[in-house]
Amino acid sequence: MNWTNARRRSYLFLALSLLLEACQHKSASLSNLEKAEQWVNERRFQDAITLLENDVSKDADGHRTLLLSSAYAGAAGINLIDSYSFFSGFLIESNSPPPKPRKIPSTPDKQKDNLQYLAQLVQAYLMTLANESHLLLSIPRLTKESRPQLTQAILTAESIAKEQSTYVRARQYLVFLNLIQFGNYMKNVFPSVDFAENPSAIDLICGMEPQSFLVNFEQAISSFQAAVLALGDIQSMKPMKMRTQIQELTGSVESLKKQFETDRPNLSQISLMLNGMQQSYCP
Amino acid sequence: MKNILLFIALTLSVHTPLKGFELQHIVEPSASMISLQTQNLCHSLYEQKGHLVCLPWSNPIVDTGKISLLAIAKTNEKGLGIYQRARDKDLNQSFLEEVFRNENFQDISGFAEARALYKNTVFSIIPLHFAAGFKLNNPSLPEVHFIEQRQTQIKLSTTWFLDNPLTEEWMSYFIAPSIYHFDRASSSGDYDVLDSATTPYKDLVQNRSLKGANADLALGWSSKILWLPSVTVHGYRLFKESSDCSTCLPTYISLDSLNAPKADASVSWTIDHSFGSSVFGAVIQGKRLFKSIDQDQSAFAYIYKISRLQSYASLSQNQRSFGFLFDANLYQLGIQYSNEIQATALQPKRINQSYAYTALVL
Repeated sequence: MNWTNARRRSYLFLALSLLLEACQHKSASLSNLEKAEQWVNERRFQDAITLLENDVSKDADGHRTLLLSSAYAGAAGINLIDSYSFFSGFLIESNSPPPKPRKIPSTPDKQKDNLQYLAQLVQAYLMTLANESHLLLSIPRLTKESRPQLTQAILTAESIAKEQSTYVRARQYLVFLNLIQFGNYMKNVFPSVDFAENPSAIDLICGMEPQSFLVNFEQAISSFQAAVLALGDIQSMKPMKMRTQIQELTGSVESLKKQFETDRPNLSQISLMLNGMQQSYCP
Repeated sequence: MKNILLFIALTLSVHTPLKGFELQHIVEPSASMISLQTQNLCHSLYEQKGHLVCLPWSNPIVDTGKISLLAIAKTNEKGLGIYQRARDKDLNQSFLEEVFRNENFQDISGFAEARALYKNTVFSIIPLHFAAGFKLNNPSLPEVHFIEQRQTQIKLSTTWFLDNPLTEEWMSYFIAPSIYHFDRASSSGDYDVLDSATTPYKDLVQNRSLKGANADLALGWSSKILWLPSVTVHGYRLFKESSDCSTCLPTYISLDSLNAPKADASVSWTIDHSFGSSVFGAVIQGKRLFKSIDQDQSAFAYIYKISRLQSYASLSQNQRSFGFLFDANLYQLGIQYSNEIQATALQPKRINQSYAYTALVL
């Protein structure tokens, strides 16, 4: 073999090596997390859930858990893009003037008749809620089948520990998810109320279905309290504002919850109370 | 020689793991119309005794002084469309879904430059070089990741040919150093929509700035005969720049490919035809001055030049492109179409990009 042949072969070898490298199919393999992110972007939520649930690698920063939570929420049909104004409306002072507050009755004195006192608390709560009913508008209405996915999303986000770097984000997300949960329960309490029409407290009382109230009301209040709890965690870590009206709503919910826990009214007592309210206010 | 070639080939066959989300296919400040078309195989073309050769610097060698103005930009009609619709607040659910699904990564880059050339020396000012990329993730809990960088540069470059009496019939050795001063500012943000509701925008964005000097160096030989290839080794940003921010968090999208040291090595051959000339060759891209090989960007390129028209094609794992360049005496116009993908999870699908070039010679 002379020098020219050897040189030609070397060139050929180099050229072939380069060609093989260049034509090789893109080999950058994605990690499970990256693959799941891609699937979530493509709205293949169920595939992403399966992949992330079966991934047993360490999740030091909680990123995978938060992605899993958001995949559950996505599978439930929750989309933060649609519901952003709802979330931000709860948290920060809006630039636009808030709706004119309606007269809220002063906290009633506890009377001998506990049921009457409870009715007054419910009334106060509904009036506060009516002031903020525009926020319920942008909440996506979940189907009965997608409820467990939302619950799973909440449980997954709750599992992120304080030591993990995604903790604050997880708490923010919990505020959002719990408010969605709350909004959905509330919409179930008032099946005939159109929240686009800015209903008054009277509209809410008249649109309330006693049976739905019994099924959904306590859960709605629990979700709202969970949202407030998560919000409190964030507030202790970063400066944030909660809207004044939301603070009023929180106070109202707390009084109501306390009263429910103290009196433990039975179903027939609550039905009686609601019917009484409706008879007083609704034509 | 044979051993060197074998070494290069063997090195290429060792897979180097990819890391990070480094933004690639950026128009760098050292880029030229030809380096972009050929994925850095050639930065300029030079006729040496009637034989066309690839050279590793952007500036043509001229006998008399001249001034040229140059603008290069990488654009993407989809990215511009998203920007336009966001600006006009014309966003709706189906559009956003499409953005998340198929267009959740976009990047742009480019620069404008004024050059004063005299013989082998060039003084140039880049009043603006910009590079930016953004990525959206997770429609259920939207995350925004972006990075953008602007810089100005003042650069002095020269080229020395070192003719050796023993080899001057075949080749000319050259060495081409460039030194430059830069003034750079960048912003980056990695946050989700919930953060944007709870945190002031200024706290979501990291700003950095850095001033300093650095240097590039190219060396090799240009061939004067058919069978002997022209060979170049080119080091960019030879000195590691000191970090301007010790407390800054790592960013989701990194601009290391634009700011960190790197190198490439190329071999090219020229064939003269009855009409025009062809140049073809291969370029190996090295990260951190050949600490590792960047296989995704190592490329083949082909150039055909006839009279004032040049056409180009190049191929690497992550980018395939073709384009044209029309070189009149007083101006140059070029266009390049590229089908490209980032090496990492930044970009799930290939996208089409176009690069537009224009230069004016005064």
